[in-house]
Amino acid sequence: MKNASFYAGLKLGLPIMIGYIPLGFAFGVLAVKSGISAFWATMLSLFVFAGAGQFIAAGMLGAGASILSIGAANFLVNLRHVLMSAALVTPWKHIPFSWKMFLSFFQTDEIFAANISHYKSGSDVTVCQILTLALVAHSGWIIGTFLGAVSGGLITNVEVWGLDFALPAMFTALLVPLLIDKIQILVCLAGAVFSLCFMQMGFERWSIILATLISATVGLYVSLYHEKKGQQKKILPENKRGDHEFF
Amino acid sequence: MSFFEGFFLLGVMMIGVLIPRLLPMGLLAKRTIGKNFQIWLSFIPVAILSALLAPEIFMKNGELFLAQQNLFLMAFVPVLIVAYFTKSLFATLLVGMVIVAAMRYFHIFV
Repeated sequence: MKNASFYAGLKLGLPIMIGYIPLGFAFGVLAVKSGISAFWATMLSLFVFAGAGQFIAAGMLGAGASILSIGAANFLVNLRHVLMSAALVTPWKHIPFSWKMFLSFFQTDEIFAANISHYKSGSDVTVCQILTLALVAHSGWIIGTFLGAVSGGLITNVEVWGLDFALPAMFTALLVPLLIDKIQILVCLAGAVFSLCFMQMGFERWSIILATLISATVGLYVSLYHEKKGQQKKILPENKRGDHEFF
Repeated sequence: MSFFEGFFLLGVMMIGVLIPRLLPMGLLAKRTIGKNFQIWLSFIPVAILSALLAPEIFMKNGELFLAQQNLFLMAFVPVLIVAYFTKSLFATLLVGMVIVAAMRYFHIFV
């Protein structure tokens, strides 16, 4: 039982780890270029573990921004995690509270999505699986950062190997299995369109969370509308059977 | 970077990541979530992933980039097919990176 959860976590975590190594590497290179020392770059990857937030921090620091404004920007881009955390409440309801808090720290976009797709396939929700997945993936991010930070700019061009495509490829692979019905596909299209619109309008820091809020709401209304139509269909034959006297 | 600066940066970054990741779980753990809220939350994974993915594929340097020269857009099509048929994160990752690297190496669409 425990073994099965462990292997499930490993199986989900390894590909994310492989994707995180080049991303972490790119962050390490950028961090050192922006004046963050190799030690602090690795500490950030160990204790913060927020891809987009860390990249923005390195970019802003390189541009001479204050640390407080970096904190504010990081908080803003991580706001989407509020929604992810809330989405995990129901699947994690059997997990002890202190474990919930600890495991929540590791829920990056990719780890969260891997967990959700694992539950969608009807698998058990266990601390062992979540923890294994989280630690394996996190190790890739830390190792990548460290290597990038100490490489001293030996390999500055991660583009050569197609490593910069790791992130979009991971998102695609995690997204596709979640598109299980027409409403999810609609939400997916809405999310893409709204995100592109907000980006194009210049709301870069807000675009992800706004697009997510709007498209999930679209999904809710469409599914409520479908439910209503479904109920009406059920009610009609009942009326023919004379149940209408109740109304 | 001085120790104080590094520590300050780490602290500020940790606040910005711990509040969004832990607070909702902590607040909602001991409450019952309404049915509609639960339906709404069931759309969050797909909505977030697609909102994150679309700009990576369709944009470059903050501008829409719908052209043959957009390597990520060209690579996205086979990657989508692989993701759909294999449902494997590893296979998708590998195929995606190999295709992009090959297109750059052989100057296809570049």
